[in-house]
Amino acid sequence: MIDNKIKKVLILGGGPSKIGSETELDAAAFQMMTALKKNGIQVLVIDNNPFSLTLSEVQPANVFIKEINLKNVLDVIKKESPDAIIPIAGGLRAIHVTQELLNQGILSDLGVRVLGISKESLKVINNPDKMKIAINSIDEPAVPSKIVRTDSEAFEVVREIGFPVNIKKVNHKESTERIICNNAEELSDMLEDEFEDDSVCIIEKSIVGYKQIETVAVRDQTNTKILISGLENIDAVGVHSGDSIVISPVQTLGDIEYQSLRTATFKMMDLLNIVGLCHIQFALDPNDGSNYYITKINPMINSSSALAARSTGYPLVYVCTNLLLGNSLPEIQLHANYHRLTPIMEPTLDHVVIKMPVWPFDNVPEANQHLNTTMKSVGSTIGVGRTVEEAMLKALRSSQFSPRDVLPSMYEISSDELISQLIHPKSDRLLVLIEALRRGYQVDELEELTKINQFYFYKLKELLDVEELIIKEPMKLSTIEVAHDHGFGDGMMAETWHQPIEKVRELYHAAGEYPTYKAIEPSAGEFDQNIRSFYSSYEIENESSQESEKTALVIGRGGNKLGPNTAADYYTAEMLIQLHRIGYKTIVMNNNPNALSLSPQISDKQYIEPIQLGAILNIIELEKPVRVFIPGNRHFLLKQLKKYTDLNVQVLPPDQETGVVLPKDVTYALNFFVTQDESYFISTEKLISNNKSDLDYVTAYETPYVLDDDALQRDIEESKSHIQSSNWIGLVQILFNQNKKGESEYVGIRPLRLTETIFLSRATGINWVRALVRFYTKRLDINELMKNMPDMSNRVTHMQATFPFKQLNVKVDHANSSQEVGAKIKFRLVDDK
Amino acid sequence: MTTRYLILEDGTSYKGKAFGAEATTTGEIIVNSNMLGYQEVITNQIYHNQIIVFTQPSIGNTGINHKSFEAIVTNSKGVVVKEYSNISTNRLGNLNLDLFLKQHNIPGIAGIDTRELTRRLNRKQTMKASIVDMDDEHAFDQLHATVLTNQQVNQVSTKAPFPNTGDGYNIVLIDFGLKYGILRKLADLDCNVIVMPFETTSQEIFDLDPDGVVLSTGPGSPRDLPDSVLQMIREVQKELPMFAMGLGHELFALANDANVYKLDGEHHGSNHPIRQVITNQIIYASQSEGYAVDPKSIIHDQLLITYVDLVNGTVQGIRHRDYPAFSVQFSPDGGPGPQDSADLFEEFLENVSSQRR
Repeated sequence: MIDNKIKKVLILGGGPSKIGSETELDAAAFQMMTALKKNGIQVLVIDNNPFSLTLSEVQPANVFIKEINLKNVLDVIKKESPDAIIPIAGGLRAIHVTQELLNQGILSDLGVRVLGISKESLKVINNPDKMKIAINSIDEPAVPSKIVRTDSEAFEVVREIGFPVNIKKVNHKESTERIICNNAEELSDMLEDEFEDDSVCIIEKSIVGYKQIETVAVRDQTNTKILISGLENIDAVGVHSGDSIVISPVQTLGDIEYQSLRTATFKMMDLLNIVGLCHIQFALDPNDGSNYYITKINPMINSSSALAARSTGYPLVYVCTNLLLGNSLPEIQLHANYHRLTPIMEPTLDHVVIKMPVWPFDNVPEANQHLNTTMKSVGSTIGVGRTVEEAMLKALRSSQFSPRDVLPSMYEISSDELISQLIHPKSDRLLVLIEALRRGYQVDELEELTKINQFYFYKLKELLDVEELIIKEPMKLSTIEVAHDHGFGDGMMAETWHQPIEKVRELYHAAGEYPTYKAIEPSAGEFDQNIRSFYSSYEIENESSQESEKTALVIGRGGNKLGPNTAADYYTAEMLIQLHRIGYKTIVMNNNPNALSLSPQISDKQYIEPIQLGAILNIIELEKPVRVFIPGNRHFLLKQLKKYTDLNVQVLPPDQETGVVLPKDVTYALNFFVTQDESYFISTEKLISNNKSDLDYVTAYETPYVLDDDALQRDIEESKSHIQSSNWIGLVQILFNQNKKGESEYVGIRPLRLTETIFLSRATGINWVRALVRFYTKRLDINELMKNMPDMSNRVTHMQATFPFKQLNVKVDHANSSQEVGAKIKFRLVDDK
Repeated sequence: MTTRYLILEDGTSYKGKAFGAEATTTGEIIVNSNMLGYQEVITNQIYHNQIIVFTQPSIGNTGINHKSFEAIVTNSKGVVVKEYSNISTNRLGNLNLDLFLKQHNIPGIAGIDTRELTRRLNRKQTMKASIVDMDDEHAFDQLHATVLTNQQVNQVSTKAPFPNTGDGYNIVLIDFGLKYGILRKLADLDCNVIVMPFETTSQEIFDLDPDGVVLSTGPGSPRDLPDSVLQMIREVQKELPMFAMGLGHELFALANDANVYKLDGEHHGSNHPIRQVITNQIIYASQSEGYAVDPKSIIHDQLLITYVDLVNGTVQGIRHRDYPAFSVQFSPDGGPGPQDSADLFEEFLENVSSQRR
């Protein structure tokens, strides 16, 4: 039963995106907010991530745009006296703040409850020793380790746990490096160094090369538990699971092994008294899966729980929120689209989902590309298919930087480098594995070198066979059928055959063959549910049909890379919401499992597909959208889609390739809303560069930028004349540069970038994405809008991009905007400068 | 791979690729929605006479291994799947699913839109299907004309007793189509097990001086078994602790004057919530059922309902009010499936131990 005492809840947000937590936290907070509101609960939120949908959708009075730290959270709690706080959608930062609040006894003094994370679990999740004790207390195995002070103690431990072992100094602040010892000789050498200054060491069994399996489960107050999903990491222990290729459902375990992990997950949740969700990581001996260790316990939302939800179609966050409030699993009522028992049915899948990491190395080339236990990927993409091969290839296609649909190759890699990368994995792992197979490596050899289960090499070999068929048997229906079954796109075939993509499509359309879309739902076809998430296959039954006569298709950005991608995802989500509000049925196409824009609440239908021309055309042919929106710059796609003249394609913000004048140096800008007949001044904005005044290095923004009245009037007049002589409409930015003498001059014009559009929304309190959507659909009352422009003279809004350099362990002097991973925003009154 | 066809009684034909034996077979077609454990499923004797559709997209991934047999002789009539992975992971590298199916003359067919097929089968009553080389009129005629045997238990039950030795309690296990998971669970608890043919009489059981009796799962309808089996159950439950599963549970219900009916559609999977009536606790278990005990027919002075399936409301467990005898419709040994109810074996042994005192 729901706890009636909870009427007001504070959600701790995730803060700026970074490596390890991107849009999934805000997506979860947003869904949580929806569920809380449905239960009649007032929702407060604290966050300083400007690209947060939750901040936009919670009532402004209940939004606290502040950094998540002890002081700020406490201030909000004292001011608002919520009945409870929810930290589990805020990542580790929010958990730490909560822990601190609990330690100081403040929450119990104020009568504020913590939902979703128990005291028991807070104690163990950040303390490996306590975690091991907890794991062992329920007769489950933790990686054996012991503290030793002498050589003989060390050898005694090793006799028990066996080589290889990791050795780590205790309390050695500068270096947390673990050193691996494979035999007695290495160990005694190592110990000589370690014990010379009377230090203490931890010896731990090394589990490098073990198979990594993750589970995500929920538990309610009455102790009912459901395993939502098992996730198999294709890479072995040694590669951070966030950097591994991940597959769901688990493919290479027997049922006996899998069930013992399920049971262990449940025992752990019982022990920690977790009400809500939990993500647990296991390491399994590759030669004996019954020999496993629990390696990590995360009783909070993260990218693994997001993947579990996305891949099963189970409404995880909605259910979890209800559990936090005290509902039991059978009591939870879902939207009528679902079967009434979905919350309590253990998900079972009839499709395969593969997650592929997206790397930052193109934008931060100085970073070390070797994969290890520190996470390096900045985003991910998923491929969904009816077979492993299909899912694998779709994930690969989705994760490529190039929008061209080709099977990439690494033929230029030297054989030494190839062997080295097989043993010491780097990014683009899959391409290296494929290349090794091309060069004739045997499956068992590769399993030995890479510690990747041979099953996956058999699957990759099959993909290579199909590639060969495509090369040898061009423009044949039978080839296309096989290729489609294995996840190859039309673009790839067209490219290989030097044919226009239309010719390839005509060939199979003539045979009456079209993709069949299957629902991503958790009952494997047992129940008729009206689930709105689809992926393509080429089979018999198509479960998706044209949504409506008035549909808008929004093409998402795919996996988050560095640059304005988290902003673009927010922008996409906001567009979907706004299009829906003005009466369109909305369809989103995306493949980022963490995407805000894929939240089921904000669109009428979701397609999880590679963002490539063939896949887009397939959806367009089925859905016949009256408008297609592409948020952000996608030159290649746009050029391709423009060829289809009957399509009404709109790029927002407009394409920057033509008609943009970009200077080298800038100081500030004036932003305008431009209609066909008039331009309206909105704001001044200081552009803060990391490298003198170089525009490429502008990564912080402040508004207003104070100009004296005369100067402002002069700049406005000048801007308007430049706007008039350009073709730009919508949000337009006029760039100015100030020389050393303080004289300013016009230096350029461009459509307002999407990060700054969101910044402008936060600064003015006006939703400019909404305005743009209405403007382009001819529904905007510009005068009404301008009437609501607030007086911005007394408050300064500051937005600063954040970068992943520390996490990538590199030093970059002048960060540029293509290296952003997220941003933080703050306000101050003009006087407290 | 050779092209073959899966044809259904309702006239539908699916084109697919052959693996396993190239035999032509006919059986009832049922859907199994477990995500892992194809070897356990295929070797389970309850699938005698049945063609199994897997909703898990890919089978064969982990080859064939000695830990996952639910029976050595397997009698399922066919395997239908989206994708077959031809992988061998046994130590000698010589046995994979394809070869295993060939050895047992079971045909497989891959490349089927199993999601469409599942959705179709879920909307209809159980029907017959065939895996054939040609989907012509003749094949459909054959399919319609085929009468499936109802002597399944007779065909799969052991002909002679055999032991599975241990140091603990002496348990007689009646084989209606024994699932080895039951043997494994009893072995884990050190039981000394004697497996007996299904027509064993109560006197033959008493002569072995057991501490308890277990009735195994098995294929087909409980009504196809001779009344002597029900008689045996009635006589034994008075004297000895009894634990029954699957077909054994259905027989236990019949022996205690309850009715058993055929379900509209069979359910094979482990995703349904099952509520334990006394505690309200919800568990998950491997379910493989074509029949269920009619709750209205239960005489409440005699039997108590212990477990209920929340999806279709079926009775999942009963207990005798007067004797230490209970039964469940599901398989608490998993194989494949959750271990949430594995402690039922311990509960049975608790009955055994208190009876001995």
